[in-house]
Order: sequence, then structure tokens, then C-alpha cells
Amino acid sequence: MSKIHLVHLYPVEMNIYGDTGNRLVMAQRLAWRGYQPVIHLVGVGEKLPPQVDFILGGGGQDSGQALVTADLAKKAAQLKSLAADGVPMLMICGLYQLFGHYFLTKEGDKLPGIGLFDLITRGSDTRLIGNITIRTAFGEVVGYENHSGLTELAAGQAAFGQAARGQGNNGQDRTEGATFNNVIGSYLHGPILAKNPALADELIARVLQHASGARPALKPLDDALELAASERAKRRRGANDEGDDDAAQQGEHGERCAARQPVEYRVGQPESPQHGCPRGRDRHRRACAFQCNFTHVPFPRSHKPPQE
Amino acid sequence: MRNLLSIWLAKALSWGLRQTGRHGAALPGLIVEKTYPGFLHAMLVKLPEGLIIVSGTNGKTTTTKILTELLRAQGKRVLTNRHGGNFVRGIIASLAQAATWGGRLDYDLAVVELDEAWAVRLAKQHRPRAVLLLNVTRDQLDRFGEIDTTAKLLQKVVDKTTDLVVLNDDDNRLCKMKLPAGARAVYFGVAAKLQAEFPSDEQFYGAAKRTTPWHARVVELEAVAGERATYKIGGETHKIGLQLDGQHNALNAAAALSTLLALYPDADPAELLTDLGQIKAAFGRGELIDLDGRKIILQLVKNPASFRQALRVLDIHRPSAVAVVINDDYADGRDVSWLWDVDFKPLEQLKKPILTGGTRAYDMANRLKYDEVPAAEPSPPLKDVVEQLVAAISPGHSGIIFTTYTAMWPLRRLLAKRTKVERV
Repeated sequence: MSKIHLVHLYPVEMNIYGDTGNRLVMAQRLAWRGYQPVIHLVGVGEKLPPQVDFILGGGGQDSGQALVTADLAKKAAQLKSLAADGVPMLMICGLYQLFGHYFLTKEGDKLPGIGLFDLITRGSDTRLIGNITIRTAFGEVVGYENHSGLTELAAGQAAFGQAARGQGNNGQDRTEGATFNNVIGSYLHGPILAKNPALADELIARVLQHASGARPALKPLDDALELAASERAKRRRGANDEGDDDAAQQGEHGERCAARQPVEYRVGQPESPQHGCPRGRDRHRRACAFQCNFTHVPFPRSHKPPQE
Repeated sequence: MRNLLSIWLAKALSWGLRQTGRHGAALPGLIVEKTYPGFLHAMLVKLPEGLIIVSGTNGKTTTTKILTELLRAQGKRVLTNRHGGNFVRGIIASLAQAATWGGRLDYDLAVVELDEAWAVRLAKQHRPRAVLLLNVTRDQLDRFGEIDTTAKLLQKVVDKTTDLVVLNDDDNRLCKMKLPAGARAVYFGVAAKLQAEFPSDEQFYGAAKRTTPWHARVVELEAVAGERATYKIGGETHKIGLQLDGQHNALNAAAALSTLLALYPDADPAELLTDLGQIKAAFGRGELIDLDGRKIILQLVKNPASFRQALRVLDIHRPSAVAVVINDDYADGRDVSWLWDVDFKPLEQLKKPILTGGTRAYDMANRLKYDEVPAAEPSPPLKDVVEQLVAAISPGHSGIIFTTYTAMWPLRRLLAKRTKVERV
């Protein structure tokens, strides 16, 4: 039984949106196929293990990002050489940003990245939040995005995918994420590998290929639950989105009302054509507001944007 | 006069709503807010002993209930928003309801729960006498973005407080709140040896725990085992039996006790603890429902911290069946990634497959799969999941439903069709 060494970068500082789940999905899908995953948690000031088969990083808060930048700079050369060597990596959200050249925060601080991807990120007052579906070389990928940094890819930098629904890197050019060799950077939470078993298996195949030299035929797993969950997520409305929720809506308030709050919460969001609010819809929203207010305690946690 | 008109308007509207079988607080609140924006302040200023705001991520409803009932046992006339009107309009409606037709407010003080964003809005309109902050953990990140943002909102509430700030000393963000001039702070927390049972948000991901308290505590939770809790109050140790499940509720009680003792130093701790022992769980927060000799426990889950705490009630109730119902509406949090921050291994001890329901039933079943906890085929419709659960509970035994917020109300209604459920 062969050991596969999975490295989780900065699990303490960069873990905020459930991305730790990617580690579990990789480990279990390897274990279910008879491999022996070995997990290495590598934090600030800690060294990468001698054998690295896969590296995973997650999203963090702005404060978490600031904590890891100095340490990341020390690891930059090694990470770049591993990437050049073909080690698969998956960097989500905050660490994806820091795999670019820099992250310029809203306050004007420049957090240096390692420049593994040819991209930059600027902080903004807009938060791009919601369910997202992208088209990639690995097929359709479903997830949830939640970021205020807007990422711009340089001309030669390959995107991970194109946003079919949702915002992607910056809400403007429809690109989502970036790839370099076997390294994938993306904004998608969900966690991304839990919702997209084909992507998880492609990464596993590359991990095994890199570790052993030959691309193995992976034993198929029963992914019915993963695919059903992902199918549901696709039909759920994103916070920045006016798509249709499925009919499984449970509340006594109709499903139409559910969209109202997130739409209001879109503070400072530029209204792109497909997410704009035509007058008719605005009326519809007001009707919803009335309905929601009329029923018993449907939205006790807020009727206004939470931000000041 | 404007004030009186607003009261009449809100009362008439509430009456009208009740006649049509509804009991919403939002609509009357909204109309008063629009017609007379100064209403809230004009009414709250009438309370001789002021306004207390309870906020934080988890435990607001239970803590507000405990504090209100303890104050009432002390003879105080307390106005509260127990109907879940957890937003400013709900409070406006409660105030209008509570006022006499002549505009008098026969209450000594108000205790209201508000989430972080709403607490700031209320504090801006009327400065609270006291603020009780329970904890800050990851929750509704689709709405608040980050935990640090949430903590900043709470600092704004603290800034408006006139007399007393009650803080959880074990919470790394709360214990560092800056006090405004003229206000004092008191702290509550858990004893060092209990720290492992109450990990902070960071610790779930491997951060080290601070072992020394930052501040002296008014009330410290020393031990908790099953339904017995031990508190240290002013150097004395008190042991009591609680009717509230779980360690987190024992800590919520410490928060409520600290607030009461800091505001009313003459209150007798022993008497308060006797009163505390009589208080039952708030709706949906470990609420017990009897169904033909079977017990159903409704346990609200909102975020990783509350779910992890909730899973501990398994040890108390030893249920014969469990259902997990996950919705992803706005009030639940639209992003369900957080389910992956909860360790579901404790559910393994169950003999029967876990039932899953709600709009994200498949996500939940998939989550259980990766923890290798056996799950039944997901059934999103709540009606089905309730039926399956009831069928799975052996007579004389109990079943637990872990549910997110928006599913809790329809679940209670479904159960109310079968048995008696308290109206809230």
C-alpha cells in the first residue's frame, strides 16, 4: 500500500470557509482506493515535509493573509520548484490570491504574493458572493464564492475556467481562477472537491502519476450523493444572483422571497446586465417584501444590509 | 402625540394581523418606523432602568430568556423580544404592544437579543445601559464576510454603551474590546480545567489555547457534568441542577448571572441559582416535544461552533434516531461549506442511519459519507423526514432533529399537527 503525502498549508490561519473539507475529500478518495494518505499540516515557521505529493491551501480572513505573507515568501522558491516539477496543488481564495504577485488591500497595503501565477488582486468594497458554476477543462465545476478581492490575470495567464453563472475572478471578464502546470487556483468554496468528484479524481490521478510516473486507472467510486448535492447547488440562487431556486423550498414564505435580502445586501455591487434589476423585478421584490413581513418571523436576522 | 398615534397604529395593525391568523411583528414595526423614526428612542427612554442588548454569534436567544426570567424572579418588570423578532422592527412592534393605549410603558427595563448588525443599528438610535456579548465565531460568512468584521460591529455597540459591558473573557476578540468613557466592564468565563471543553474558533483549526484568564471573572463556570453545573461567584462555589442541555447553555447562564449581578449587586447569588434551575430551554434550542411517549428534541444549528456544541447533547439524550435538516435560505446562511468544519464522528454511535432533510439534504448526506457515518437516502421534504424520524424512534426513547433556522419553524408546525407544541 503506497503512502501519498498531502500537505495542508496554513490550516490555522487560512481555513475560514470550510476548505478543510478538500483535505478530507482527497484523503478519503485515496483511502477508498487502497492508498494510504498521510496528512502534513504546515503552518507559519514550519517546513514542508521531505516528500510532497499534493499541496492544499484555503481561504482566510484579511488578517490571516497578513499573518502568512512573510512565511510564504520564505517558502516561495520551494513551492515554485515543486510546481515546475509538476506537483499538483489546489489553492483556494486567500491562498490563490497570494500565489499571484500581490494583493493590494482596500486600505492600500500591498501584501506580496509568490508570483507563481501571473496575476494581481485588488481589494474592493464589493463582495462577490454566491453560488457559482464554471466551465473548465475538467468539466463543469460548481461551488460558492465569497471574496472582496478582484483578481486580474495577465495576458498569458491561463484561467481555471469561465464563469457560466456567478462572478469569478473580478465580476467583469468571466474568468475564474488560474492554472499553471498541475497547480489550480480558484475562488470556489463548497468545498470545491466535495462538490466536484471528477475534479478531485483528476487531481488524484495527477498526484499518483507524479508520485509513480505512470497515470493509473482509478477505481470508480459511487458519486451519486456528490453529484446530487452539486446538482442542487447549481439550482440554488446565489446571493448576487437572480437564478431560480428549486422547488424543494421549505419555508412557509414562498421561495421568491428568499432572494430579497441577499439582493439588498449587494452593497456597492456594480450591476452587470445579467444581474441588473429591471423595473418589473423591482416591483416583484417589493411584493415579496410585503409578503415576507406579513408572515410570521421569516427573516428575523435582518431586513437591512448588515454593513454600516 | 405622534408617539401615541404610532402606538395606536401598531396595536391596530397587530390586532388586524391576529384576526387573519397571523402574528407577525415586522409589518407593524415597519410602518411605525416609517411614520415616526424617533419612536424607538422615545419609548425606550421611558424605561427607568434602561436597555440591555444581548449579542454575539451563538446563545443569544437562550441567554436572553435566562436573563429575562432571572430579572423577573427578582421582581423586575422586563420587556423582551422573545417572539424571535430578532431585529429592530420586531422591537418596535414589541414596544407598541407593551405600551398602554395612553402611551405608558409599565416596565422597568428591556432585555433584547439582536445579531451583530442589528445591535449596531439599535445602539445608534438609543444608547444601551448594558451590553452582553457572548462570543464571536464563524457564522453567516455569506453575509458578514469575515469574523473580524463581526467583531468590529460589536465594538461599535460597546462604544455606545453608557454603563456596563459584559464580556466573555475566553473569547479572544471580545476580551479585547475597548471601553467607552464612563462605562465599566465585567467578565465571565470558564475555569482553566474546563477550557478544553470550550474551544475558541481558532482552536478548531489547531491554534493554541490561552490558558490564563485576561481578567477577573464575576461568574466562572467551574464544572459541568450532564445537567449539573458548578459556578464560582465572588469566591464561593455553587452547585446546581439545570434544565438546559449542554455545556454551552451552562456558560450562557454564567453570562446572564454576570450581567444581573453587575447591574444589581444586592441580588443574592444563591437565590438566583435556585431560579436558574427552573428555567427551561428556549424554543428550538434543545426544546423537548412529547409525542406518544416518545421524546423529540429540536436543536437549532447555525454554524460550526453551534453544531459542534449541539452534537454533545447526544451523550445526554442517547437518542434512538437522528435527523439533520439543512436549509440554505438567507437566514440559514446560503453557503453550506461550513458543514465541512464540523466533525460528525459523534453520530457514528447511533445504530440507525442518519436521516437528512431540507434544501441541502444531499450536501448533508454527502458530508456524512466522508466521515463514514451511515446516512439514509436524503429526503428534502420536511414532512417526509419528520415521518421517517417518528417511525424510527422506539417507544419510550428519544429522537433529535438538528435543524437550521428556516427549517425549524415548519418543523415545529409539522410536529404541532401531531402533538402539543408551545406557541411562540
